[in-house]
Amino acid sequence: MNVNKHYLAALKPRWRKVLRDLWEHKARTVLVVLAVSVGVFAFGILATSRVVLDHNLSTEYLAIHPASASLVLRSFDDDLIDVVRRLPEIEEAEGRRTFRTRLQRSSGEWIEFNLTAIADYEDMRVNQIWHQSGSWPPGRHEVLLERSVASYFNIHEGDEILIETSDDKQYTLKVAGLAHDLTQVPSHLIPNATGFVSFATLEWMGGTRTYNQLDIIVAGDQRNKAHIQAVASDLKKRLENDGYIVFHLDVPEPLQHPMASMLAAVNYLLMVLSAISYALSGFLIYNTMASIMAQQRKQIGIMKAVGGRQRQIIEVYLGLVFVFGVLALLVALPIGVYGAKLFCHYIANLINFDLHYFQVPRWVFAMQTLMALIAPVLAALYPIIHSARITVHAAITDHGIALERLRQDDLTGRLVERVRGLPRPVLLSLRNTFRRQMRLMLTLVPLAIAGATFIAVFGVRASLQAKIDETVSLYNLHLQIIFDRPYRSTYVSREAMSVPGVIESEAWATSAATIVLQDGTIGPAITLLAPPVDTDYIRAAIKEGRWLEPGDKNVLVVGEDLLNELPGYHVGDDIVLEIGGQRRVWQIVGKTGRTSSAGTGPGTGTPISFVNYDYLARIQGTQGYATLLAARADRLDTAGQEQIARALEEHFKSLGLVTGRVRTINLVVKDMTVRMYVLIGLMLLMAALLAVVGALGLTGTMSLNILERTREIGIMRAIGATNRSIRQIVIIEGNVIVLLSWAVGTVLSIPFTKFLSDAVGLTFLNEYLPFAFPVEGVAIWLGLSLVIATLASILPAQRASQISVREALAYE
Amino acid sequence: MSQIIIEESDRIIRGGNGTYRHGNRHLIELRDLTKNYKTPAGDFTALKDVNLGIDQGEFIAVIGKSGSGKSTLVNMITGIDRPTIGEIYIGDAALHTLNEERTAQWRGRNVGIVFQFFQLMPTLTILENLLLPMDFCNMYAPRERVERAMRLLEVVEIAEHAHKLPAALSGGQQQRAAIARALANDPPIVVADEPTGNLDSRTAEAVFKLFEDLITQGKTLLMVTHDRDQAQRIHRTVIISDGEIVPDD
Ligand SMILES: Nc1ncnc2c1ncn2[C@@H]1O[C@H](COP(=O)(O)OP(=O)(O)OP(=O)(O)O)[C@@H](O)[C@H]1O
Ligand SMILES: [Mg+2]
Repeated sequence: MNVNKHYLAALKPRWRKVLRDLWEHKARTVLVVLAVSVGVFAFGILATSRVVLDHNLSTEYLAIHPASASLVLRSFDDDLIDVVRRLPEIEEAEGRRTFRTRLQRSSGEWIEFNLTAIADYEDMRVNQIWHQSGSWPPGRHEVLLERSVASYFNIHEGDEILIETSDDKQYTLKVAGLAHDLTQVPSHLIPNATGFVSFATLEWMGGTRTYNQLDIIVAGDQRNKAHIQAVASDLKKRLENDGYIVFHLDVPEPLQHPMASMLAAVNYLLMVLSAISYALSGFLIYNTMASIMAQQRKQIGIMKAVGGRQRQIIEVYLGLVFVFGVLALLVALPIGVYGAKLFCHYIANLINFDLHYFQVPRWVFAMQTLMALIAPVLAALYPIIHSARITVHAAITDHGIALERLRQDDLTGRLVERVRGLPRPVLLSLRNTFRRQMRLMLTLVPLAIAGATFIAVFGVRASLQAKIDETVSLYNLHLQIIFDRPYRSTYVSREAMSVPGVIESEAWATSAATIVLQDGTIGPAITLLAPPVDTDYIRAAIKEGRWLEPGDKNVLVVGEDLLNELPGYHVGDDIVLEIGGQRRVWQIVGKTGRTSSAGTGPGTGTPISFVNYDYLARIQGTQGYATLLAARADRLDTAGQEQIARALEEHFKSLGLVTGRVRTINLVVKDMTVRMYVLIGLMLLMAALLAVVGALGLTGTMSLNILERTREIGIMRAIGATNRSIRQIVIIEGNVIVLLSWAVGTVLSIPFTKFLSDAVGLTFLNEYLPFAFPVEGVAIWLGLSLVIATLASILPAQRASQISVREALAYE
Repeated sequence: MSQIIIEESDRIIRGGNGTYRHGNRHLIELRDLTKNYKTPAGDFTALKDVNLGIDQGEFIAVIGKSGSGKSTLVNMITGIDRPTIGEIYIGDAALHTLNEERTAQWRGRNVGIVFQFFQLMPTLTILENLLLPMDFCNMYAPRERVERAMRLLEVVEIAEHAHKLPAALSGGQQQRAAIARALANDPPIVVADEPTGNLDSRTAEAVFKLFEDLITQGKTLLMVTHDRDQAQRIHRTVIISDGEIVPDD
């Protein structure tokens, strides 16, 4: 005590009392402070990250001069670029050639490798890529790899990589350096590779010195998507009138990184969870203050007897919680800043951008200060005011601690009474637990909410998984191979069957199509899949309308993902599709489930619509020809199917066919799942924070129970209880509370799962997710709960076992 | 500073014509005081029609059997408890009309209380326990306070224990500390409810001497005691039986 005499000398005795009380009960102080700080630092992390990420991402995105629109043409040259650049409605334009190749990893596995040839690396005007390391620009026979490719596939500067073009020729390129392309979804989200070469290298590989991608920046209002759409559509029409073949027009969200809106949504979701944890920390403060105030009755009486007024006494105890708040703030601020840094780096890495600027906004500090100081005061207000009302008379004649009325007739009391087979002392302990009903409630609720949230995250995972399954279950096939040009169906089928492991196959037609909206503007791009009408390779669950029938002509069955994207279109409506420059009216006759891959982020799949093979082949003039081959294998495992896929690739290659990569459905599922886990992981992290608050609350309650039962424990000790048995009593009590919270949490998890699934579904997939009750989550939470119970009981149990008879009798 | 002066006016001042503001002639005047407690078995009358006048400088012993109402009576005077019926005037204050808040404030300045069980704040040192009333009532300039508290501790002869926590002191030492604290704000009235009841006779004698010294300083003293010897050394004795004051012979 003498140690802090000097520091405290300047303080009024009542404030000294506050500090002493905090110091006397260090464990209690630490618990409260930590619990409050969790919500405060979580807010700090998320709010700071929101601002910092947004700032960095948008600054960086604007700095690359992002394209307002991109057109994919068959071929064009510098003359066209000059013409386009001179158009008054176009501010800037640039041409590039992108082409698909494959890259062989050191493991021998082939991965998709999209190469882009850039004419002048020193004068990129739209969608700039930036020099990361190594040499720049790439020389002859050299390639720059997108930096996420290098780290994900473990390819380094100076490595030689073997690539194979679509006409089957192999080339060795030297990795000259790394580049950063902010418009690309990084390899760890979609495991493709991206690289950049010079036109000289392209020509060496048999390409031509022409472009196929035209990126433009419109003049005028660059934020106005409708304006951009109008300009781009006009340009497209003009190009087509001039005889160019335009395959595709893409207008992304203007001046916004493709993942920016997803990022905001994730942040919002996490913010909600952190707000919950903040609110729950109030419960712990309430419990703690209620207990402190109950123990302080006599002291309050003394203070009043020597002239303390009610307001002064309230001030003393508000001072106590204020110190809790200040300490919580001191803990939360650095964690908030450091955590935000970590989180920002994680996200920046995930999305593949750089953090050039990191600064915690002042308003975040201000909010955190407010949060840290207000929560304790609000939560403690009732117990403090209530106790400060006690009269001196009541306080000094108060023998024994009659904190809450002991009711023999209450329900829980009787329930505990009924429990059989528990040792007497445990029963005693439980009875006390249940008598403190308010405290029990306030301990249970945070744990139950943490549990419900945790379980709900598993529910969301199950729902997303179900969505993936639904998407995948459309296809009753194992492998698919897309040809770069049509081949005779009978021929490719027969050849496929000759590969060992392939047991069945079916030839389909495919086509890219663009929807032309009712107002004549360009809508989303879709892929048409045209299987034979009697196919059993597709098992579409029809949600509305019907499946394709023999004799169907210009009708299509769409996925619900497309209809969600196109409000105003329903089953039975007409829809205009542009295929190969020609517009035709089709009719939507049916709706299936989701067809594009479920996942987070852009580029995870275009919606698919199904049409009749005969009709599509006829309008394309490719009857009897296929651009896609679906196959079934005799192996069901991923590795086995991958093996067959590679054999199939080899075989087609040996025949001189121009093919893309053979994809196995299993691998498609895996890619989707990887993306899903990023989101699930973040949500689990927040659920874990909630659990921490719950666990701190439990520890707090257990400690209070022990403190208030000091005398009782002393008496047990006096009549022969061992350390071990006293510890046991405490731990059993903790476990009982936790099991109860688990049961409540499981019930609560049903609405929580529904809410979270809907939020996630609407945000990321634009639809409600199917409800899935996560039995797995319930089981895992049970296991975690028991761990939490034990951890939370250890300290109080230790404390209880140290109580001596003498101490217990001196206790008041 | 001005605040202290204004609040000084809370202190008891004798009126010009020998009466106090509310017309009471005695420093402490209880008029027709009755106290009922509600119990499960119905109302219990702990004090019945008590009338009592105490002048400044008197030393009063309150005696009576256990349960007769002694504590109840002194609790009326300190404002710790309130009468069911009747009026209490102390100096210029009509205690029965003050609310809890005003009472606490008034008590801090005007009455020092010593309980049977020492009732010190366990987490404050002895010195700090003495500073607490001055702090609450904003008495004396902060710099004077420590000096004053130390003087009081010297008077009760425990100055060397000033920086210890109450638990480190013996019962007698704690009671001395409690008396010193009762004097912290230099109140004109000191009320003690069995201050020596828990002490051995030698310690009790020493503590009693402290009270006798207070009288020489012009304080008014009210002491509940079971000790006949002590009572005989006190100016005046008030005997209570079943809640009623037994008239002097
Ligand atoms: N809060 C209360 N509710 C009900 N009855 C009470 C209450 N306080 C005191 N009494 C009763 O009033 C009577 C007087 O009590 P009081 O404490 O004044 O006695 P006392 O003379 O001080 O006794 P002792 O010498 O034992 O301290 C007793 O019979 C007591 O039971
Ligand atoms: Mg008494």
